[in-house]
Amino acid sequence: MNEFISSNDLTAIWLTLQLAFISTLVLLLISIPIAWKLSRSKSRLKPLIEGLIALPLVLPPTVIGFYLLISFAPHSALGQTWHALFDSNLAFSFSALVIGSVIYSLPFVVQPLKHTFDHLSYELLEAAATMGSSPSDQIRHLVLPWSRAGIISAAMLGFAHTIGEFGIILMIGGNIPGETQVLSIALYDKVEALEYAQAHWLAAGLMLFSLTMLTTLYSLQANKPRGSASWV
Amino acid sequence: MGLSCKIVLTKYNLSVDVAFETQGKGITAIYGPSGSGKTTILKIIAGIERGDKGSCISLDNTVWQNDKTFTPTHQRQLAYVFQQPRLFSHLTARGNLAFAHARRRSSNGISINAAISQFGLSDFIDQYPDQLSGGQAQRVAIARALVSAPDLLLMDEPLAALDDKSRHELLTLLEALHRQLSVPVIYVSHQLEEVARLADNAVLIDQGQTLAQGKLVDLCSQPELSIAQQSNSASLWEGIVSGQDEHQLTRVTVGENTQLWVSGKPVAADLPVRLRIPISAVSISLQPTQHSSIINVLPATVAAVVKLGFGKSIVKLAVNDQILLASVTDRSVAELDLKFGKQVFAQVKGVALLTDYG
Repeated sequence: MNEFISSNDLTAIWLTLQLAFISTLVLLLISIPIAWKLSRSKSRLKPLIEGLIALPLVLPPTVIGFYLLISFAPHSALGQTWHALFDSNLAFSFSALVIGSVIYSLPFVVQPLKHTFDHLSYELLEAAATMGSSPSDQIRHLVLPWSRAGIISAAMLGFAHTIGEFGIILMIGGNIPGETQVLSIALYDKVEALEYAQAHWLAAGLMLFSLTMLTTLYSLQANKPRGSASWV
Repeated sequence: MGLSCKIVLTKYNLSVDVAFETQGKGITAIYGPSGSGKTTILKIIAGIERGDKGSCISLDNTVWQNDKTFTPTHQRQLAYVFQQPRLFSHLTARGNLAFAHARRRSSNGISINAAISQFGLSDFIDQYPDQLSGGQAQRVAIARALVSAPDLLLMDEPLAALDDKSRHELLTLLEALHRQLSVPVIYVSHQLEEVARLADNAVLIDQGQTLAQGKLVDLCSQPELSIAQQSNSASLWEGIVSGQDEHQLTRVTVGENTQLWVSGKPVAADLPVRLRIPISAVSISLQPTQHSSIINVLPATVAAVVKLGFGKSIVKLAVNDQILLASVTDRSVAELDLKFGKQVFAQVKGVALLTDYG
């Protein structure tokens, strides 16, 4: 252990990675069906749903954080239900961070997925149906393979965005080491405490990590695998 | 038995109201100009689009659509060949066939290997769709449709997007296929030549309405129908190869005792064939011409004269028990005094022997 990275920082890094992994997994599980429905839907409610999902893009994280804080409170309906189910408090817990992250990163995952699904050939799915392929079979054997690059992009964006979260976590998670103190919060603490040398390490590390993610993302998009959106 | 359709649909500026049936196997062409609703009819049969109330579609004893039921496409035992090949681009040609094979509804269809050899796919079977030419891709698409072992095969202008050479190759393949297929085929086209070569029956469509339907050979002998009034319209005769002369001409006997000499590659005797006699290749004279290069001169009786306008007419001729149409000018009609019952001679230049047929 050197003087720049404390064991406290390592805990924060580990917690941040855990949060990002779990949130990304949850995000993919809910975003794929949402994006697929949005891509196929012609409902008049669609713009409203899309707007709701996109809200975190425009709102200050503190607004969402504020509402989440209120709904996670022990006396709230969600807080009570949570307590009854898991016998623990939702507020200032790791689970609260996951919920907050999922909501906050939702547009970053849903939008690229929807973009991918929008560009899939409906005509090829029609052709598959004429060969006896049911809608669920089409999603498993055609839509998901065609969308591989889009799903990977969406997952990476969701992951990177969760790592970079700050405001919403400050609002709903507080600053409990090992439970809710993630990297961006730890960095904030260093700056507050005027520990600039350590802050430099954390900040540069985060920047390098994010740049690596984004570079990988863009190189993925440049080399689309066979078939993703085109058809012959 | 066979396919039975009553299709009603109003959308945008198209109003479709057609009804037809197929009997057993064989190719039924849906023929009509572009924009007449042919593709829409095919899509409704497939369940890709839904016909309005009053529509009724059934294959054999299975109802696919009526006012109470609607079977989704993937539960209809059909296969569809589109104008574009629509191959799955993340799978090789073989992968495309395997996709259809894995989802086939019965074990009666041809195997993947049989399809590969029948359609000559072996040279490019392990390539991806974007490495195939248009003709190769469409061959894979047709093979894929057959591998899925359908009870009904729908084809929507499968040759329309191809260059002339590929079109010709594929047409020959489809002719061969026609004799082996045991399921009914609905073949949409606005190409008269394809229809003449492939179809047994036809439904003539214009602006969403049925103009006429029946055996193609009969429809092509009715000068009142638009199918007989095109510049490339032709009479279709079905006959049997009955001989050959020393100059490699093939003799075809049609009906009781009408004989025509046809050039082209030799065909085995006793084979059923279809002859295509373009209406523009038939001229009429009052005397049998002598010292002429025209080999086929047939005594005929004028059965009808139909004016088309712009100085053109079609003369319907009875040649023994066959009907032959001739495109002539109004001036010739007047000068030769062509009218019902007139005895004339039909000079036929340019008979195409379509294939061994039947």
